[in-house]
Amino acid sequence: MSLLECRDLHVWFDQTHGGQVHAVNGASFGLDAGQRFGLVGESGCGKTTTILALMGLLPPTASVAGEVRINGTDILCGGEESVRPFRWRDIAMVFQGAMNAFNPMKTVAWQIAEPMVYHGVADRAEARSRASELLELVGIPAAAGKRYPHEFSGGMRQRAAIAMALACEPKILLADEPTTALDVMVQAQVLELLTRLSDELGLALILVTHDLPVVAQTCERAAVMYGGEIVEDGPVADLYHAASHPYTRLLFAATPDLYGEERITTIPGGPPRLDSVIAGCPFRPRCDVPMERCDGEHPTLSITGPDHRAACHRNELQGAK
Amino acid sequence: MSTPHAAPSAAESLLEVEGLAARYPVRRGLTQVLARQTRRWVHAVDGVSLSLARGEMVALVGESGCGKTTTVQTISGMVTPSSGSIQLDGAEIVGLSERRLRPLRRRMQMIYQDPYESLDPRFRVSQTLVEPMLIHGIGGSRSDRARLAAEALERAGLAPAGAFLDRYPHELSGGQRQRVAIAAALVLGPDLLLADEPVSMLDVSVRAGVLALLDALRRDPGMGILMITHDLSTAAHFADRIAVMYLGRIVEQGPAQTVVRAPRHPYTRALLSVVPDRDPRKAGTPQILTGEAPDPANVPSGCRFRTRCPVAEAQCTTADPHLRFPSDATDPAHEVACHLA
Amino acid sequence: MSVQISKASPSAEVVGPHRSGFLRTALREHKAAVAGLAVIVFFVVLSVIGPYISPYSATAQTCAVYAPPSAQHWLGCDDGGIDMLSELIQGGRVSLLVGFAATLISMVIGGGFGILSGYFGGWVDTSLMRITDYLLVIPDLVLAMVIAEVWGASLLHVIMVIGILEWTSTARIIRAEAMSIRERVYIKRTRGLGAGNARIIGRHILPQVGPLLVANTVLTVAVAIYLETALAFLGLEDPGVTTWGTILNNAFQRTAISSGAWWAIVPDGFVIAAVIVGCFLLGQAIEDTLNPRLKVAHLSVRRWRLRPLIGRGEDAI
Repeated sequence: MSLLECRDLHVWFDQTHGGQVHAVNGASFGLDAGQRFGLVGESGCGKTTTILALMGLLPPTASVAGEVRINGTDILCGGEESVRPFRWRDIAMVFQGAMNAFNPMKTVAWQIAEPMVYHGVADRAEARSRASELLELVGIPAAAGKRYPHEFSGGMRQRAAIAMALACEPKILLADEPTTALDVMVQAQVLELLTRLSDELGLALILVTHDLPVVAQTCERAAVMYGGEIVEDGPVADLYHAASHPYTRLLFAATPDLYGEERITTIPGGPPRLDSVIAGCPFRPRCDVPMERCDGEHPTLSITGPDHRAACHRNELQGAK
Repeated sequence: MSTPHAAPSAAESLLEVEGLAARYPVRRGLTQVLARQTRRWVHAVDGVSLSLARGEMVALVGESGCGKTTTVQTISGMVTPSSGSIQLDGAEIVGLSERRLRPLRRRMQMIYQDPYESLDPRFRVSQTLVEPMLIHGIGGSRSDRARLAAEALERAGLAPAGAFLDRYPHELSGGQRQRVAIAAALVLGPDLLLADEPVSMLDVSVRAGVLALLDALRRDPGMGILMITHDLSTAAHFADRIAVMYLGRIVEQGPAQTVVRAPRHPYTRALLSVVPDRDPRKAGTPQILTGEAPDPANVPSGCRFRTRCPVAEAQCTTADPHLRFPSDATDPAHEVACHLA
Repeated sequence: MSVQISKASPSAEVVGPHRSGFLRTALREHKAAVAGLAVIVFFVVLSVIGPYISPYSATAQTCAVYAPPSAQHWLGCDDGGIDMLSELIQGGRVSLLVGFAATLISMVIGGGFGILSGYFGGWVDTSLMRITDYLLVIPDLVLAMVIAEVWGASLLHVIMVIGILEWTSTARIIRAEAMSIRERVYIKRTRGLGAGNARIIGRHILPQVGPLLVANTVLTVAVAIYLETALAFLGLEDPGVTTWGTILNNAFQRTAISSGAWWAIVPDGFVIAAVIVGCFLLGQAIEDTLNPRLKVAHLSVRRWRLRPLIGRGEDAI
């Protein structure tokens, strides 16, 4: 039994003008303590929606199906009421854009202490001393907790957001684009912090990002999402060296490398519209090696190697050979 | 401020920036004003010199707050420099009146970071493209302008132009919007493009396309491109030269491959070491500098990098190093501002 | 960087804040706006065709003093034996004229002050906003009474007084909007192209604040009509002119209440309230449409639904 298990997760959004968008289509993955898992893909592929669904943090226009289990307990089955006890205590999140995660009128330490009091894990005094500990843990001097969010730099704010997520000692930390707005050096600092936390505290980490090198260097395993589906998942080294889905391969080819000699390429076209059912392979229009089958038949995830799955008809072709 | 005298030869550079400085006053509270505390300045750009030839792409890299955006804004005339000179084709532009500057603006065009914000949401693509022509009185008639707009759009890679001219920005993807913004710059036939993080807001899958477009533009009409980026990998791939900025100064500059493969400044080395590799098996040893760059209102004495430098020595606290060729330079175009290089 | 919420709505194409057609959107999304617009249109049409459908003269005596409502006189008659319905129609013409004309004045002044102040900032902003502040803190009604007294009671004066008093809030709102638009990248880009202030204001800022100005104007019409009524009720209007306000004033002065002639007061009060509510409904709806942020704050209200998976269970890996 994994610490976190997400099985066949679906999310739909109602649209204002009628109709629905199938934002997440059957995502399944599992995660154990101390593991770091990357969720990558272009914008609009469903990464953020997936982790918001794990937290039960979806707007009223959303409907959800599937199972999300933490230590075997299905947390979504009872709607908001069944998620609430788990949220922040077992599964916490670092939101994209750390500035918006803070109330500008309260000190940083106060805001880190607040969820502890709210969830009843500590009283005021205890929470305050723990907030100081957490700040030290993420590399901010405890005294700085008396300051207000706007007095923090971008990197410090991101660290403080991580400290806030850790307030109730969660087992699972979800990080949505935690380094996107940061400089390379600060990015390196934050990634090092996240890695250290997962190593030392046994925190399971889901890192959502469009930045493949970040995932390659931080996570052990990753899933590539496209059009609301996971199209490939496996160990990051396999994704890079032996990609089983053309999208993964093309994404890596589009990512410049510091010392690489080869030309970086684009993936023509854009992501598919998710407001109608896609008959064939969703990646078919942008694929560089399409086949006839891809037009009418929707590929499903199949095993292509140890701990490695991909949803591409080509793999079955090669398997048959 | 020196005035230009002799016209430079054609082989000389398109853009020549010399000792450029720009500063902002630090806001003082009322009590400080009453106490007659002296006005303090943030030296956002503090003595930047760089040159750019036609057909060349130079990448300006560095952390946020290092002054790269201010440098570009100063060159484009949106920020007034406190000292230094900027020459476009040998003609000084610092100190020109807005009226005299206007024809020069046509020759330098800026590309902005956020394609979702840089187009008027109420303007169709055709209106966005025609507007610069109306401002500068280009194209005799409405049909002339329409033709020029269509041409620019196709050069920017949105072909057939007819499919895009009548659309609104919200009907376009990020990459397409950025191409429209580039086309709106192209209609003026500029010599110099100033691109501020042109792809950082775009999806990975379309970045290469926009960068390849910039690459093509510097080759074909031979534009000079000054690109701000924080992504060293992009700089290494597309730029001819890289200039690394730290706290308002260029600390190292040279041919892109030389800077990336044989960095001489400890700051450049640290920056390069923390760029994650897309290959999970090639894990480097990141040399993570602690903290962030100091406040530009409070620049350290001596070498401005010494407070975070892993190899700083006693001399670094007193003497301010200037850009020079390293003693054992292999590439004559490679300059470093470090006592120890 | 995009806001959380926009990331969570994964439609294939990015839909930006597109403001043209705001009126249509407001009417489609807010039923109250349709009601508001219907009320306004009804009274405007009534005013335009009023002279042709008015059953009696609005100035001549056609029945007994304070005659109660009857088949001939639906809303009864006033103290001078004038048909109330005809008088209401005539009064509406004038009241609406005052409302719209005064609003036009306040729109021009307020819009102009707001745009110039927000766009230029600096000393322009400081001086224009200082003037605005002075007018803002003076109680409207008191100042209106003073001016009406000094200038003398006339319809034109009332229009000008209301117009001059009501632009301050418009100026404040438009200024804030202009300030935020000024900082947009596309304005910087246009300036970088070499565009002058006139072009930037005329082509980029004005069209963008336009819808907000309209929303505000609709709200101002309500305030203007209200203020007109109040001035007239206080007897500060030309007594020779029939407006909804002077009807109320007349009825009040000429003991309509003690005579039990409710029909001289209630219908008039009702139409005033109806127009004001109509303007508010429409104005609010337009404002809501223009400010989607009000709709977005739903992360705290987590009412997402669960839905069973039909025939998909065995596919799950």
